[in-house]
Amino acid sequence: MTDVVVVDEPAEGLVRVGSGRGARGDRIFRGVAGMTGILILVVLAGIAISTTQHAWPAFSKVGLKYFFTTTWDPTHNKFGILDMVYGTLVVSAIALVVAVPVSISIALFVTEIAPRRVRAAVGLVMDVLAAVPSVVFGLWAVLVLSPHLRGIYNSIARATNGVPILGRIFGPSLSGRSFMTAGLILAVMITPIITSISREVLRTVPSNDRDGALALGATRWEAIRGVVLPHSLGGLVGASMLGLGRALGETIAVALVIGSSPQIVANLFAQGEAMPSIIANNLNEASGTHQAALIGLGVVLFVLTILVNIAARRFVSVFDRRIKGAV
Amino acid sequence: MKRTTPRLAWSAALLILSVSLVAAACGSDKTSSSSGSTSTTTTAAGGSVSTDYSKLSGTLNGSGSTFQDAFEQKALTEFKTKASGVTVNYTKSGSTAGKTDLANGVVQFAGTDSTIKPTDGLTFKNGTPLYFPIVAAPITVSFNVSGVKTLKLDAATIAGIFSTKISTWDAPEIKALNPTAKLPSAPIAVVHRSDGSGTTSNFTKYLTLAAPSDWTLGAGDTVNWPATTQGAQKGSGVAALIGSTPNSIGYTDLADAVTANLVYATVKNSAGNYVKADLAGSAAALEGITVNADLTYNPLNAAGAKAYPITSPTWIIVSPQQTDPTVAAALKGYVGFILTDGQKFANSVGYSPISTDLDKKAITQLDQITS
Repeated sequence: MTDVVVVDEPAEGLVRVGSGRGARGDRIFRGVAGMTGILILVVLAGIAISTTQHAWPAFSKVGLKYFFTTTWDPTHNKFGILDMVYGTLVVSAIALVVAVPVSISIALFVTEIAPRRVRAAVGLVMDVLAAVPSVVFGLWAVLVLSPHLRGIYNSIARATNGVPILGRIFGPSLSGRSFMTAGLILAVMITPIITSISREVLRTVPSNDRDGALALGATRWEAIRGVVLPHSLGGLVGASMLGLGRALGETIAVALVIGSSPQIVANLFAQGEAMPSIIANNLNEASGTHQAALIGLGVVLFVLTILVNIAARRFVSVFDRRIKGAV
Repeated sequence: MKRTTPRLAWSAALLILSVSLVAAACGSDKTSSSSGSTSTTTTAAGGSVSTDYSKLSGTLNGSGSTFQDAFEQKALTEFKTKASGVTVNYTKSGSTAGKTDLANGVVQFAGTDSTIKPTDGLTFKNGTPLYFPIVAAPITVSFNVSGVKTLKLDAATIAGIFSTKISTWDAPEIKALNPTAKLPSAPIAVVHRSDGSGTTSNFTKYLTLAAPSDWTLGAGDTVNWPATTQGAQKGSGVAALIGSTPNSIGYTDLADAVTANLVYATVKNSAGNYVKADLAGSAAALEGITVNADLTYNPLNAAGAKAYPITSPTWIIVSPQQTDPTVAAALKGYVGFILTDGQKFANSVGYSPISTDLDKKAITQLDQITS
């Protein structure tokens, strides 16, 4: 390599870069980077193997019933996790439905509309919000929010009572602790993440494209819809998936406000239970099969998160191809 | 700011000095009162222990029951003033975690609200642990119904409410016990612990004992509550949720109910009397019990006219064969202190002392700790 460089007699700078010392640095860098990369895989595999191993007594003792039944009764050694899987999915879905439109709107406002000074202020607020510990959100939700929400939930329930689908989704609430409260708190928590990534994604839209659209007579909204959004759709989906990842695994805030009562119901204002929160609540006092069953929930959550990520990646690649094909 | 710093430091130093002076004065006071000798003989409710606390040394680590934590913290602080050479630490990790820690030899003693069961799957290297009953306390049935300050309940009604078979406040079962109370026709919001808990275990054990035909959910640290009930974390969380939810009812330790300013029901005991949940009631429950040879006992649904039926026991468990004589002596000293002086301040931190008879037996059992 060095020989070639010397023979070709390139510019001075290049010779220095290609010296023997530089090549060694390259090798060291490659080694270190490669090792950290492999280390992540090893750690991940280690976690997967050891948790599965600890959860095995539950998997083997309870069998497929573990995954497909709804009764969680440690006293009688019955462990079915469907209620908790349902709770986690519903809560995360509520969080996404609320947070994604809001986050993308904020990001659009910041990149496309807002003057520079406002831009910096909004960015700062988002970063501060992202740094608030989840237990603070949880405590605020449990002490301040949910007693107020109880009244709101119950008036919505009265208003929709008898309406075919809405009447079932919006039922009465006992204390305000519910799927909906947990979902809303998660929405507040994941909004900063989705917003800041979306902002970076939207910034990558070439200004030529945007200016071109505007020059052709498009209004600002038309330019956003026709140029900005299609160009960044993949990135926006990615941002939402990162938010979803946090929502799926969030423990303390959800444990405080979900009401801790495993069940599958349509009523979003009813109390439920999610996978991470039941683990956090019960692992201390659990032993034997109960403990294994709780660790098993961790394994299932792990698999669920991986599945969601894979699905998101496929989604992004399919969309990217379709949009690039269209252009 | 800079100018005040040295002054602040000076006043802090002065404060520390004065505190230590006072402590020293108290210390010397005590030694002089015991007529020249540092050995103190303490007589408690029933038994007496003669220990020279000042000769003990070492560190004792304990973990386990959250329920007895407030008592442990008080006891270890008080113990330190007598046995300055011993440092006792207690971590509230939960009864199950405490038992596991003791089995693994991580701690020298553990706190537990439940006895060791074969299903725990634990092997104790240094012999089957000795149970030392230390204190007891009532579990309240607290409620939040506007306009209702007193409520009488019996085991069958409590079982009906917590299994949601009785679902409204004006149900005939509740009305029959409380003919004069203005009970609303609102649905009952049942609150329970969302974390595995000895309180849940003792509450459900009581219902299993006292209302076997009405209570079908079984007993344990976590039971399969009906879906229309609500869970909250820790005793304080349950108390807070009851406080903020109209028409709710839940079970919580007396200390948590008192802290949250909740009102709680009087419960019918096995003698047919309605008894208020207080320390006198739980102390009375311990008078009418049968104690097993290993000092385990069941104070739930106890006999006795004044006994509060939902009384929670708690133990310190210790391995009988200690490898280190210093640790063995310190352990005997600490547990002995709890069984004597500790019984006197139990009330001040929200627990009732154990009965004289039980206390005597526990003190005798101290000799079984060997090294």
